[in-house]
Amino acid sequence: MLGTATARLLAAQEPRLLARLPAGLATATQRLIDSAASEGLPVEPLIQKALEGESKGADSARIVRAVQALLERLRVARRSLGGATEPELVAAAAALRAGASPATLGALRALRPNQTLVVPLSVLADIIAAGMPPERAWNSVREMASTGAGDAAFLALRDRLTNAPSTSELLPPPARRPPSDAPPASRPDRP
Amino acid sequence: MLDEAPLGSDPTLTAVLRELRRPVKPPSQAAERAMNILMLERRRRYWWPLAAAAALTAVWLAFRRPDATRPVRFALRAPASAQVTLTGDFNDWNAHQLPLHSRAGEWTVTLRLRPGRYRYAFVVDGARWVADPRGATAPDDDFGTPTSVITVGR
Repeated sequence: MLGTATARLLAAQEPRLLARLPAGLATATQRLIDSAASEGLPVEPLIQKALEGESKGADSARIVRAVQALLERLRVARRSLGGATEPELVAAAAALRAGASPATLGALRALRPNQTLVVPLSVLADIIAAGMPPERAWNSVREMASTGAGDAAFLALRDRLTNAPSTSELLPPPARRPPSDAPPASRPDRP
Repeated sequence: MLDEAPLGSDPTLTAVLRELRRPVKPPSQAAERAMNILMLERRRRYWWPLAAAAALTAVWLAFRRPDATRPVRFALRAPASAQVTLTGDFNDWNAHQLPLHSRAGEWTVTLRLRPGRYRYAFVVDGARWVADPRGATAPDDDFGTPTSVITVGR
């Protein structure tokens, strides 16, 4: 976990934002990063979120909203997990974004107090994102966590649940994404 | 055959043949013991380094840092493309930094990543963002472009 002092130092000297973001956006983002650092939250995921937005050509307001939302998820993740490493917080934030509840995170920590939660949380996020209802996804992950399964077993579970031949039986159709409030800079494609 | 070759007129040849025909004395006990020790030392000389290397490898495998990097291979089938790069959380979303290499239309690159969750995408021909058709979809895309996610376990 990033020490508060180290996080503060990093936040104060983030040259990547200055090099790639417009001045106003860099300042706004830096403020959010400074908040994270002062709370002892990891700053690198926030920096990556801002750089991702810049790379994809998103407008400044959207980037700030995205960084803000991620910061809030990191806060909730840490409250729910208690002590957590940076990779755990990142995975937990993804699970929250996908639709998992904070209580789920706490319950998973209780099941595996001395083991890393990166892969179980990541798998939970992935299978919810693939269309499985959060409660059902949590039941699958909880069952596996209760047996003390390792990372490979969790990843196999995810592969099984997201790539099953009879997907329609296992997963409902993915929910429609809410319409974005700004057009994407470049149209995404799947080959 | 040495036994059948006649001793000729050539004195050198004769001397050589006589020497070769001379019966060899069996080694003395001391000499034999010395030979055995030497052979054992040769075996020992080679065995100890091998055993030490095996032991060190076993210890390293058992105690290697859980956050050690792992090789992760990224691949995209794009036979009609001239260039494919990889971008994501692991390279500050730099769309030009990590080129993939093509072989028969399959573009690949292998990175070493620490355990964790990484979001990424391919950039085709410098402009087109493409999700990984073989990867999981990231649920936390905030910019309108589908992004893939990979989880690297311990």
